[in-house]
Amino acid sequence: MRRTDFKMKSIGLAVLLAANAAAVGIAAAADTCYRDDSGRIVHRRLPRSVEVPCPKATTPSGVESGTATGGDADIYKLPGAFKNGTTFDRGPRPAASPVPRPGLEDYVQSMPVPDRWRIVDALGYPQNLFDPYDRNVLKGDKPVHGDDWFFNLTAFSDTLFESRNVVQPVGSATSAQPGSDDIFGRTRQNVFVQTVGAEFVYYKGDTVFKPPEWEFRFTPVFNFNHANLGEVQGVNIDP
Amino acid sequence: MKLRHGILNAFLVCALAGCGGGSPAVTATGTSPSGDNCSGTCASASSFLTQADVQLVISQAVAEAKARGVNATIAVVDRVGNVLGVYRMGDRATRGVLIATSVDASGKATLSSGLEGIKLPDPNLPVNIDDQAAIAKAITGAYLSSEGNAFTSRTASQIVQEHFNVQESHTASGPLFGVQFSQLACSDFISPNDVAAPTPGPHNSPLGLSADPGGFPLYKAGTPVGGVGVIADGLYSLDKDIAAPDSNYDDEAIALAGTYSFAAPVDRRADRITAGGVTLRFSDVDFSQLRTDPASAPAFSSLTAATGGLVAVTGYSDGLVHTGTAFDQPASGIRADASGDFTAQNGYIFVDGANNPLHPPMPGTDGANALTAAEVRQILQAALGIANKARAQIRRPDGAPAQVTISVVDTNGVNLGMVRTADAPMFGADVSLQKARSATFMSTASAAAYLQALPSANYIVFPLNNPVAPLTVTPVSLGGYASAAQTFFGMPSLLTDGGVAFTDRAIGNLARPFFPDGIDGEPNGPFSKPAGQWSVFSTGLQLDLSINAILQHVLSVATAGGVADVGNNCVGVSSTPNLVFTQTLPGDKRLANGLQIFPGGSPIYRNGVLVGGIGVSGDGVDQDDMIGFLGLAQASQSLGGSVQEAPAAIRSDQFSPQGTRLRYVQCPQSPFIDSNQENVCASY
Repeated sequence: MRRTDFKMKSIGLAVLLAANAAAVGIAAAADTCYRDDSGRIVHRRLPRSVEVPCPKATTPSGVESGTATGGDADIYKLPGAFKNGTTFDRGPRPAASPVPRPGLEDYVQSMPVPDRWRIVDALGYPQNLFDPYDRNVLKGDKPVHGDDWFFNLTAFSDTLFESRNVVQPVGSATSAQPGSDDIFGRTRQNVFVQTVGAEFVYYKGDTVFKPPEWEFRFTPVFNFNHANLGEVQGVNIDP
Repeated sequence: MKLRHGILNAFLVCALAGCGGGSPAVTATGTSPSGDNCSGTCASASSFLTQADVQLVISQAVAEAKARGVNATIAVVDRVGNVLGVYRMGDRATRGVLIATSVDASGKATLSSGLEGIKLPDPNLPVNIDDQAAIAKAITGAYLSSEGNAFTSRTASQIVQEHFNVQESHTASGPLFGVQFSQLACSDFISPNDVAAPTPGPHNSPLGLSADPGGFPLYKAGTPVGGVGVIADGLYSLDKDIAAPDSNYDDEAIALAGTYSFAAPVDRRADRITAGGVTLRFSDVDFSQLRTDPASAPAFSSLTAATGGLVAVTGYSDGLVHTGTAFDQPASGIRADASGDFTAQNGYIFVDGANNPLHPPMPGTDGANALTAAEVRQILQAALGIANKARAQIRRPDGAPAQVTISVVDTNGVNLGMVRTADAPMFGADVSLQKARSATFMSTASAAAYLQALPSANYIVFPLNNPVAPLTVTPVSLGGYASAAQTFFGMPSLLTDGGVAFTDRAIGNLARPFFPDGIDGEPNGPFSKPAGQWSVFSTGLQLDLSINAILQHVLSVATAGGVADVGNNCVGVSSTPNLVFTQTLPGDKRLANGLQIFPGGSPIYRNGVLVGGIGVSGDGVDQDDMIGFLGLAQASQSLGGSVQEAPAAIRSDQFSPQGTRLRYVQCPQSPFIDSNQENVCASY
C-alpha cells in the first residue's frame, strides 16, 4: 500500500520565504513583539507566546557608501558589486522577524501520514450520501471499501423541445388529412427529446500519481423522443 | 461503372483471343447509329421493322441460344403489337412452360392461386404456351417503351411487385402494380391480330404484360419499332431477388442478342431513369456477356428444321415473317388528329383500317345526366393541355412533357372518347380506359350487386402429382370481395349507394396484399389476396374478374381454336372443369377490359351525381393522377361547372377504414415544365 508522505520541511521553508517577503512593511508599523517557547522574539503572535517589548532596532550606518561598517550590518552586505561600482546592502537586520526563524528543533524527519481522506476525517469534516458538496463516497472522496476502492457516480439530464415549420410530403399510402392532393402537406413538426444518463465508475488505485489499476465503468443512457408531424409516414412508415 | 466493366471485359476477351475473327467480344452498344437524341418526334413513315429486320433479330437470338445450349422460343412484334414472327427451337413437347412466381426444390409452383401453377403441356392438355409467353414478353418490351424511355420486362418486374424497390420491406408497392393484367385479348378496346398481315393496333397480348425478364424493345434510329420476347427456361415468372443478378439469364441474354443493331439508345434505357428515387433496371446482361457476337450470327436463311422453325400461333401469327407497321402512321392505328378536336394540343387519335377515327368524343349512354359530346371533348382537350405542360417522370431527357393516353367513359363503362400524345407508351391506351372504368365502376351504387351477380372465378388446378387425374377448378366468389370491403369499412352500404367516390388510387389502396400499402405483416386490403396466396399471378379481385376470360383465350390459342375464343368482355365469363367457357354479360362495358388497380383514374360528377370517369396512363402515376384531375377541373371551369370533381365530402380520402385514411389523388412535385408552381391540385 502506498501512503502519502507530507514533506513538512518543504512546507515550512515555503512559509518562511513568504513571510520574509512581507516583513519589511510589517516591521515598520509593529511595536509589539512576542516571545515564543524557545525564547525568540518575533512580531507574529504565536500560540502560547508571551507579549514582550520589542528590542531596539539597530541604527543603520554607512548604508549608502557600501563601505564596511562592521557589526551585524556586514552580514547583510551583498557580495560583489555592479560594474559601475555601486554596491547594495539590505539594510540592518531587524530586531525581530515576523515569524520565527526555524531552529534545529523544527527540523524533523519525513514521516508517513495517513491518506488524505483520513486527514480530513481527522479534521472532522461532515459526510453525507445525499450532499454532493461535502465529502461523499459516491463521488470518490473516500474509498467505498478497503484502502483504495472508489466509486464515482455521475448523472445528467438533457431536454430538447423544438417546434418548427418545414416542408414535408404527404404520406404516400395514406394521408393525415382529407384533401391532401399534392406532394407537399402541412409543415408543422414538434420534436421532444429527453435524455437521462448516469455513469457508474468503480475503480481501484491511487488516482493522484498514476492511473487506476482497475476501473469498471457502467454508463446507461436513457432516451425518450417523440416527433409529432403534421403528416403521416414522415417518421414512422406505419401510420 | 457497368459500362466500363463491360468494356474492360471486352478488352480482356480481345487480348485472350488475339482479336481474330469470330471472337465473341462485342464492344459496341448494339444500338442503331445516332439514335440517342429522339424526344418524341422521330417516328416517321420509315420507322418500322422490315421482314429482313425480323429475320435478323430471330437469327441473332437463335445463335445465342445455340451457344447457350438451350432451345428458345422467340417472338418479334411491332410497336402496336402486330406479331411479326414466332420461332420455336426444339420439339414442342419439350417446351413446357410453368407459370409461377416461385418454385420449390422439385420445380413445382409454391403457390396454387390465380394463374400460379399452370403448366402446359399437361397429360390432360398436351398443348403449348411457350409461344404465347414469348409474344407477351415481346409486347411488354414494345408497349412500355417510347422515344423517351426503354423498358424491358425486367423493368416491368421491378414496378409491379408488393414493394418498390423490390425486397425493400415497408415500402409501398410498385408504381404500376397490376399493369400485368392489361392488353388482354378479352378487352373490348384492343383489337385482335390479323395473322395474314399487320393491321392497325394496339393488339392484345395473350398473357397480358410480362414481368419475366427476356422482353426487350427494338429501336431504329432512336424510335421504338417493336419488341422481342424470348422464353427458354420454361418458367414464366418474375425477378423477386433484385439484389443479385439472375443465376439463369438465358432468356434475357438470348433476347438481348436479338436486339443487336436494334438495341435501345443507352441514354433512354431504364437504368438512366428513376421513379420515386429508385433507379430502374434494364437488363442483368449486357452485350459483352453474350456467348456469341450477334454481328456474325448465321443468317436466318441458313437455319434448318433441325434447329427449329417459324410457328403459327392461332390468332397471332400465320407462321410467316411480316413487315411491321410504322408508328403514328394510319396503318399503325394511331395518327395525328385532323378533325380539329385536338389539333391545337397536337393530339393523336386511334383509327381503324380505313383511317376513320375510332373513339371520337360522343355523348354518354346513361340517361338524363349523361355527359354530352361537347363536355367529353372539353374534358379530353383540357387533360391533353395539362399533359403537354406536365413534367414527365419516366422519360428522358429530363424536363420533357408527359406523354399519355386519356380516356373518358360514362357510368355504363362506354368509351366516350380517347386521345393520346404522339409518343405515349402503347400500354397506356388500354390501361387508361381500364382506369376510367375502374374508378367509375366502384363509385356507382350498383357495384356490389354487379359483383355478386358475376359467375365465380375458377382457378384451374393441374393435378401435377397425379398426371392422369382430370383438371379441377377452385371457384372464388366475386361477390365475396364486395362483402369483404363492406366489412372492412364497417359500412354495409358500401358499393351499394354510391356514397364513396373512388379513384383508382383508392381502389389500389384496397387491392394491396398489405393495408396500409407496403407495411409488412399487416392484413391484406379487401380487394387483394392475403399474404401466402397473393402474387403478381394472383392479385385478388382484379385477376378474379377476368381470369376465366384470360384462361379461355390462352386455351383457345393453345388448342388452335379447340376452345372457343373469348369475346369482347373480360368479365362475366363462366367456366367449367371441362373447359367450357360462356360469356354471361355480352355487350356489357362496365369493366369490359378488366379492372385496373394503380393510380390514374377519377370519377366525374354533375351536381353530385356520378356521370362517368376519366383515366390517364403513360408517364408516371402521379402525373396520370394530375392530368385527369386537373383536366377535369379546368374543363369544369370552361363549362361553367356543368361537370365537376367528386364532391369533397364523399371522396375516398374522407374515409379511414381500419383507421387508415384512403387517398384520392396525388399530384407530383414540380408538376409543370413551364412554371415553378407547386401544390396545384389543392384548390379543387
